[in-house]
Amino acid sequence: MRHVLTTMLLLIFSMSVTFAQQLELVGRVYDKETNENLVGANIVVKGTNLGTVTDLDGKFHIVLPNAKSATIVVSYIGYKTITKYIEGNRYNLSFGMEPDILKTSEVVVSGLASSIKKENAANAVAVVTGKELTTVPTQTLDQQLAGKFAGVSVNQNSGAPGGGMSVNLRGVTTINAENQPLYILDGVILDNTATQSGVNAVTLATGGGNSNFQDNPVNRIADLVPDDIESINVLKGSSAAAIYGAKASNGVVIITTKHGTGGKPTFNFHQEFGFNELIKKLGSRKFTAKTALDAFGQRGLEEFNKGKTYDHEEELYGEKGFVNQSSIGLGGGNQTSSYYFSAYHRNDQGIIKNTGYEKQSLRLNLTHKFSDAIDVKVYANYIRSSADRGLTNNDNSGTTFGISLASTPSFFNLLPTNGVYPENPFSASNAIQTRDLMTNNELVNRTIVSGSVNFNLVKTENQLLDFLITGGIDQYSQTNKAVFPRDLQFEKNSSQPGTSILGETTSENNNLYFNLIHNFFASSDLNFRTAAGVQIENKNLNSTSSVAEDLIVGQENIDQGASVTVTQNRIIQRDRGFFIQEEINYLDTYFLTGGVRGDKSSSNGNVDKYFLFPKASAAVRVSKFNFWSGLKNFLPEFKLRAAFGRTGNSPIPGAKYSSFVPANISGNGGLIVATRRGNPNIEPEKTTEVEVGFDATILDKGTFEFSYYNRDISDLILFRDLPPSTGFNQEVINGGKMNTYGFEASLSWNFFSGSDFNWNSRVNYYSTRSTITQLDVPAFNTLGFADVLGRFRIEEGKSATQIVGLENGVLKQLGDETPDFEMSFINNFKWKNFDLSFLVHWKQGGDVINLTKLLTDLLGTTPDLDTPEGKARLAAFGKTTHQLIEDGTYVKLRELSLGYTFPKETVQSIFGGLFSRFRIGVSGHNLVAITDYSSYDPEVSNFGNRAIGHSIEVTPFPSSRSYYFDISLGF
Amino acid sequence: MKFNYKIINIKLLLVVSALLLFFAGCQKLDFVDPNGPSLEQTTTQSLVTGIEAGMRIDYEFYLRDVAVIGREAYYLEPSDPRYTGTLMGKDGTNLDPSGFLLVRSWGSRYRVIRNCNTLISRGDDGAKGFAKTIIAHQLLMNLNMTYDNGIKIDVAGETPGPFVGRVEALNFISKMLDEAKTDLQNAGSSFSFKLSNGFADFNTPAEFLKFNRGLKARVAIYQKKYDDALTALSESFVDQGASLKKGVYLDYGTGVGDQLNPIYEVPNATNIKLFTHPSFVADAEPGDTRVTSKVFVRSEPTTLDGLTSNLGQTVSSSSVDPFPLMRNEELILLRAEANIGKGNYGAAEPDINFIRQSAGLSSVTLDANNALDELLKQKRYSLFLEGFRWIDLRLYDKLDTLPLDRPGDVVHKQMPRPSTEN
Repeated sequence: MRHVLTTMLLLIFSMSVTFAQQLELVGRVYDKETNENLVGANIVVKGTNLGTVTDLDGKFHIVLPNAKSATIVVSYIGYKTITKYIEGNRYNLSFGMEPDILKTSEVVVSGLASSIKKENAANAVAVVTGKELTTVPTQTLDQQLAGKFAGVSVNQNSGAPGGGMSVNLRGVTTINAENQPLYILDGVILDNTATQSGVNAVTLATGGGNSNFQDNPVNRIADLVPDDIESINVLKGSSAAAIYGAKASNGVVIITTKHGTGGKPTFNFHQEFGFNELIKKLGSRKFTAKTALDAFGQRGLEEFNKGKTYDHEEELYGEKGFVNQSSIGLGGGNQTSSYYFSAYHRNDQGIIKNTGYEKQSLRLNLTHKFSDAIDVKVYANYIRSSADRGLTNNDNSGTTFGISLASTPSFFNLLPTNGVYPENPFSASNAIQTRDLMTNNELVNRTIVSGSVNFNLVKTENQLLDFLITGGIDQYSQTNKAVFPRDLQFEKNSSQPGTSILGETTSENNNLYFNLIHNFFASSDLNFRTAAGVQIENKNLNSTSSVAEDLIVGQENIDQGASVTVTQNRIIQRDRGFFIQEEINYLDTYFLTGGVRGDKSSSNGNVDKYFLFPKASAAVRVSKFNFWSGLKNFLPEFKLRAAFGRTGNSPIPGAKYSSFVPANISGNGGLIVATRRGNPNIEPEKTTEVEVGFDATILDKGTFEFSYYNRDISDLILFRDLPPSTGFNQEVINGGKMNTYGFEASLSWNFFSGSDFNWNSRVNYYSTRSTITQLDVPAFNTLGFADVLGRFRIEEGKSATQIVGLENGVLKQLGDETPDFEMSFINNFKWKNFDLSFLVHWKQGGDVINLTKLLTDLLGTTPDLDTPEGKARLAAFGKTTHQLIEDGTYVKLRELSLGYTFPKETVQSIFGGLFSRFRIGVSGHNLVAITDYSSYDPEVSNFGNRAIGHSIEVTPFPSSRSYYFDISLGF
Repeated sequence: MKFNYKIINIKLLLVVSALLLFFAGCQKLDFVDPNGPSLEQTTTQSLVTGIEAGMRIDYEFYLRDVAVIGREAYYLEPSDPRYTGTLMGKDGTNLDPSGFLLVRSWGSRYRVIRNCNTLISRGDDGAKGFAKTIIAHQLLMNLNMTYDNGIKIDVAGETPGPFVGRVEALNFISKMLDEAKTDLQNAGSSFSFKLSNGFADFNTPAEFLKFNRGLKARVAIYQKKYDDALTALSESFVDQGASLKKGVYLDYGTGVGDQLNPIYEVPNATNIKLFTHPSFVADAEPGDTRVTSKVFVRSEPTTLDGLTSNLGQTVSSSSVDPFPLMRNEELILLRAEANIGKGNYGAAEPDINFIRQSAGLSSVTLDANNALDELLKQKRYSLFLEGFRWIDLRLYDKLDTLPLDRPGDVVHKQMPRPSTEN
């Protein structure tokens, strides 16, 4: 308190007295370790807007009128901030900056148009830099997120090339509404729709026990190129994400791409060669004449007596898929402009022949300062991706690779002789033939353009008023082409042989924000930042799918079929919002934030109603207090924080409409009531979160962050099952409440930091639990096929992610897909010119319904079917369910990278001065997976991205591991 | 470095922003469903056609259920164990009240009824007569599945009424058919809408009424009201002089939004699923042409879950072949059934023998000892896979005569009430 009074007195004193003199400061900012100049470092007078940046030589020159002394704050991204009090003119100041290994000076997002230093933040915001992200290359960005943040769970839906990943922040937030976070790339909201490929027309997966699509779709975040990313901010909870309003209940992932920096241009070239291979084989049953006869009848015995066995799994999943990835990044600029250009190409071949993924991307980022008052940034990205995804997952037609394989005993030869594929008598299809002759391609052309213009309206010593316009467009077209020629066994046997499926999806997302940001230094110790703005956000998705059957021989076009089925679906969502936010920083010790966002949306029943999403947070750096001095050596930094916030989740578009659907017969056009009844009163779900935690720096060697959150989710959007006698299957209601809570802890430790040996390490721990606290409807089933096959069930008082099943006629809880906890261990070593890093990801618990094994049991091909356990399991089917539900615990070596960087001099002499950096290395992704789970991978989802019910496996595309040889060259 | 107040042209900025806001923000938030018409956009014709098309939705599940439980067929589906498991009472297992085998067809029938009720609320007499007849038919399909467990009949409003038992349900269906009869009689000489090819012979109110009366006869038989059945039959299209195939069909086609016949399978394909139960051939009288025309022997037997058959079926001859809802052949047999019910064996004999002769068999003499069994046999072979065997045997308490394929199998008497109805 005394400190406060002194400050105020000083303030009054300094305001009342004018000094007719000036302070001139000249100096240089450089990297203390390498002695290289730092271009564009910020030099600011504490508590004012006065300041400058270093020039191309790392030099600065600043003249402060009316001052004879000043406290200077020198900062640069990735380095520890230096604060220094200076009296009198100085002409050779030098600031040697130390790398910020513990990242306390890192800047994190705190609002729609503002950011804050992490050490001052009142929320747990997770940040990862591009460098940490791309230790080991992967096909898609979302794969890179696994294990890197506390509270972020990433689940791969299948091993199919080209993605399909579920990213889940702080556990379950919804039952039926959008379950993926909001992704914002350089100011533009990205479309992350997962459009079904349409192969359901062949697999008929929705034809039996479950009407949810199971086409193994890709959610479109997969298109982004990890190499372009400068940093990712993850706003995990509502308290941090509230300012993003009605679409932020699943958290917000804010991605910033690379900028050029001043100084000499930088150039990077990366080349990767590698291959993908199957992680694990399940094996196949060894038959005797008797078991062959019992399981496959007379024909089975005949085939068995031919005396040969074949490893179908090896044949189908045993490819070593070659991978090659090249990328260049080029950046540079001067004090007014910067550029960053990148080109990327990746080609992946899958572990199944004829599957693979190819992606190309071009990016250009430009910034320009037209004057001191106007800043412009433009980001442009073009991406083309093409995925051949095979035919996997559940079916009701015996056509997918997995179902066909499960039906085929090892003694039957599927391989072609003289180009003729044997007719598989044990399955509708010959998986090898299907693999060789079919096509299932997904081609995406995507353009993402965004930009911002910042007008500085007012700039005085203690006031700054900016007007910031940001906006962007994310536009893509996706073509799904699946062709099943007439020669395929199941097509030949079809009443309409030959199927061609053509899906065309176009998507356009655009958003435009206007923000006013006012920054006011009431004194050198008291800072107010006010931001307000309006938002316009539009989504427009148009998807058509045509299925042509009875194809003319050799033809693929839709008009070459005797019958065509066409469907079209449009999603239009328009949202309008406003926000206002106030941030107060007092003494760099107390931090207060309050704000509110209002949103209205075309998806709501009442399109004119603004729903309000408030937030408030406070943080205190306790370590600044005097009483802390005794602890200062052990805990130099200690901050307590608490935050509250609310976010929403839009009702799915169309939920409010009761419409008819076409049903035609004999060439007459008809209409029948849709199976879903609309609800004209539908509202967004609301998630209200309280988060408390602390951040500590320990001995200047490490940091420890801990957060606890508790959220109440109300107005849950439910697809309530209606009694079918109403004529409808379901209706959409706001009818339930859920509570979730969880813990997150991260410990970073810098074990060694020296010129020869560096070792830093990070451990993340996170766990979450959910309970359905109120359900206005009777308990109901969500995903799954039947009670006896295990399914997900929403029941008041129970975990939202519980798995139930029939045990001798009684429906019981048998498991839960939410893991007990997840941990990850990240280690980076550097010894002389060698670097080694690895990431181990441990998921403890979380149950999975393994229906792959059930199918092989019933079809008589499980390897252990002749053992007592196998027989018991088979006999238990229909009576009990627990045998189908397995523990999905795993420990995976997600990333391993080992490299050698050649000494600069050597590189310069080899390349004649052209390059200065040269690194070679080896790396691998998902190299080791330790699990008791008996099928391919407990990381699986037959139904794609699901808030609840992803842990169901039905003959998926098996997971693969990847090995790479890396070359990196640059200057 | 100098600092000054930097006020750029704020007025210009505000104008530009306002314009941007206007153009970007002026799109309406309130718009109609981009994907489907609302109630206001429907017409009598579109609702009628929707009803006809909807009658086909999930009907295959009904046919499979009746055929498998009635041991007319196996449905050997490697992807779903329930067709050979719970449906056949394997090891005494009960039917799953939430399973698709029950719920899919059940729900789709009520969906058609919802369309019918919409039509009744706005259509003319012809449309009402049509809609009520179809409601009766659809309710009967569901009652056939749940039998003593009953159905819901009060479903026109937002919230359905309670379950009613079999007797009450049959009375309601019968009454619904009679109301339809009145509407049809008031409907003039032609309908104000077009019907599908499946109703080609029944597309005027007068002709459609004959289908209505056929249904009435079927219901009366289930009620064992034999006089009512005979009266209704006399007003139906029963006719020994007409083709046995004459009747009402579900039409199938390859057009946009149309459906294919789900019972048809390419005869020699490896992946066929609907196999004839071996007893159908084993129990047949030598020379019965219905066996040879509906069943063929495949080169390889197929086995799944302990069930083996090498017999395919050709009840439908192509993927666009219409599938019967009610045929002259059934009506002739219903007439015999009504007469047998009354104990008039002599009156039943011409109809039974007409059917026998049509199948290449010699005539028989009926008496109290053999008449019912003979009738059930003729129904079994004449109406194979058309959705009757299980229901007919149940009516006369003869489910225990069905063959059991595996030790532990049971024949279900009826399906449970769908769990979603409670």
